[in-house]
Amino acid sequence: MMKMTSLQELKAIGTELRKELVVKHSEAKMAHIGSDLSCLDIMITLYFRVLGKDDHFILSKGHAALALYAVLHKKGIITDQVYGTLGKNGSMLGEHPIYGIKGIEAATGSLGHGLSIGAGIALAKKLDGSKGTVYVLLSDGECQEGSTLEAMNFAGLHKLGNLVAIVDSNKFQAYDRTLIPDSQVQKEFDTAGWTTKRIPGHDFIELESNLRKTSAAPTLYIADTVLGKGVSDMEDKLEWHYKSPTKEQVDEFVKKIK
Amino acid sequence: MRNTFSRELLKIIAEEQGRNESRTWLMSGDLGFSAFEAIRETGRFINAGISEQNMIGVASGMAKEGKNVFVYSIIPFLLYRTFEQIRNDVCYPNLPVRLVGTGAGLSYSDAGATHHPLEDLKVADSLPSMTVLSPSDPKEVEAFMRLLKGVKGPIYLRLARNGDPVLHDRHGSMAIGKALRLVKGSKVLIVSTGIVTKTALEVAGMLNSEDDGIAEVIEIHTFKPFDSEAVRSAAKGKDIVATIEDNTGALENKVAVSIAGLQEQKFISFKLPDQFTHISGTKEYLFEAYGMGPRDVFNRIKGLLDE
Repeated sequence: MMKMTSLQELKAIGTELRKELVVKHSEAKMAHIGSDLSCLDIMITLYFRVLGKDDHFILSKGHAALALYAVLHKKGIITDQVYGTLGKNGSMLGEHPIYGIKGIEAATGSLGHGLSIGAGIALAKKLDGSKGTVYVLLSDGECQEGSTLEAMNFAGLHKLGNLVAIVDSNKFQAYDRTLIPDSQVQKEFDTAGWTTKRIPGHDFIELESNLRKTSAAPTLYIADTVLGKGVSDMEDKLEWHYKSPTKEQVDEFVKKIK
Repeated sequence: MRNTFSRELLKIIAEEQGRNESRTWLMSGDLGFSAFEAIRETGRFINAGISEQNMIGVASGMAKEGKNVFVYSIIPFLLYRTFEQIRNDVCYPNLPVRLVGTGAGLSYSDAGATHHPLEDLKVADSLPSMTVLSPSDPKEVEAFMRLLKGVKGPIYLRLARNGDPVLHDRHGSMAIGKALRLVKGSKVLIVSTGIVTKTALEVAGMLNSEDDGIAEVIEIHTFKPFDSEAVRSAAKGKDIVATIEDNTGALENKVAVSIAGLQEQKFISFKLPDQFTHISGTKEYLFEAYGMGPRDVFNRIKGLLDE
């Protein structure tokens, strides 16, 4: 049996990966660090406390790929050698998930794809009576995609109780505050037959206890998060959807991460 | 073609059920009245509703879990509405999703331009890892349904409609990726794909009745991978190479590239114009209107021969 990661260890991983992501984004000059940091704690909880061998995880908001790479690397799924190439010419690791890397289920650089794929996996499992839960991490903006809503309806109709969607509700999309509020999203999923709940998105205990729960219906968690969480200069600022820290900022930001 | 597809799929499902397997599923975008009822009764049918993008994503997820999913709709809804899902979620991971579209070319002739996929071969051909099947008759559909289990990645199978005639007796020698020579001849090579192979055969018959053994017909039932070698070697030594298709130049382009550098032939193509169809009628009427009736094609090839 693998030893469970303790709460203290989860927090330490969160701090370590935040520092690492500041450095990696700066070195690679890649965008979306704000989105990485808003969903990082959700992914840490999933990979270190929740996911079992029969479970699946799809990062539907593929622009947070660097956070996923960091977690997969910390888990030992992505090797040091592969992770070390990030941002260098010839690397397999793109700014959005690249198909063909161990641990990456889907190439989700375009929003609105992941929930359908997750629903398909969940449906196949349900038809076969196989074990396992499918977790799909969505951005709040992504719920504007018609295809996300199509998948919502499909999963509700087929009562895919083995499907869990988590909305990283950081209240921003690329060029605005999130246009369709998460309260409306929650209502839509409710109406489509999902079990829905709002949860705090940076609280490991709350995240774990909720994410372990499934119901007869598919489950939607609206996770309240903060864009750029953990780096005070980035928190709740739209520009960090795009910018990467300068060399000068890296030391300053890393020092502030607790 | 649709009923043949349905019948052959039913056989595959019944065989699996006999072995207690549940790999093969049919998922439809709310279509299939009086075609899929028997498949529905097997329990292997999913109505994905009027939400084609999700349908492709679900098929991708099911295929990842080892399912053999046939996804069915009318071609523009199946292939155009969902292009990015097909590209990213099916072709990129090279999953064995079988996209089966109905209404190829002008098959839905009186349904209006929204239902006329005149560029589907170009669109499907543009996708890496896609196999593109363009059968000419129901027996070819039957043969493909047996052959496609040998294809590991995605397939796009374009069907016409129903009541399409059987055109030849060479189905037993079909192989995916290999062009089929239907008629052997010395001077004129006609390359065809899809149901207008019927026109190609009629025109070859007319040419050969005037001058026995001059017209050859090669049918491209697999548009991708394209059997350039067969086309090139058939074109060698011919006076004329002609193409006929129910697309806006997909076949013309492939054949032109295949024979590039062979300089002895005259080249002529019969294709649909790069425009939306503003007239309604039977498909025979529309093909005539676009100068693709058998008599028009014959006259133009004959004219070239006599130059």
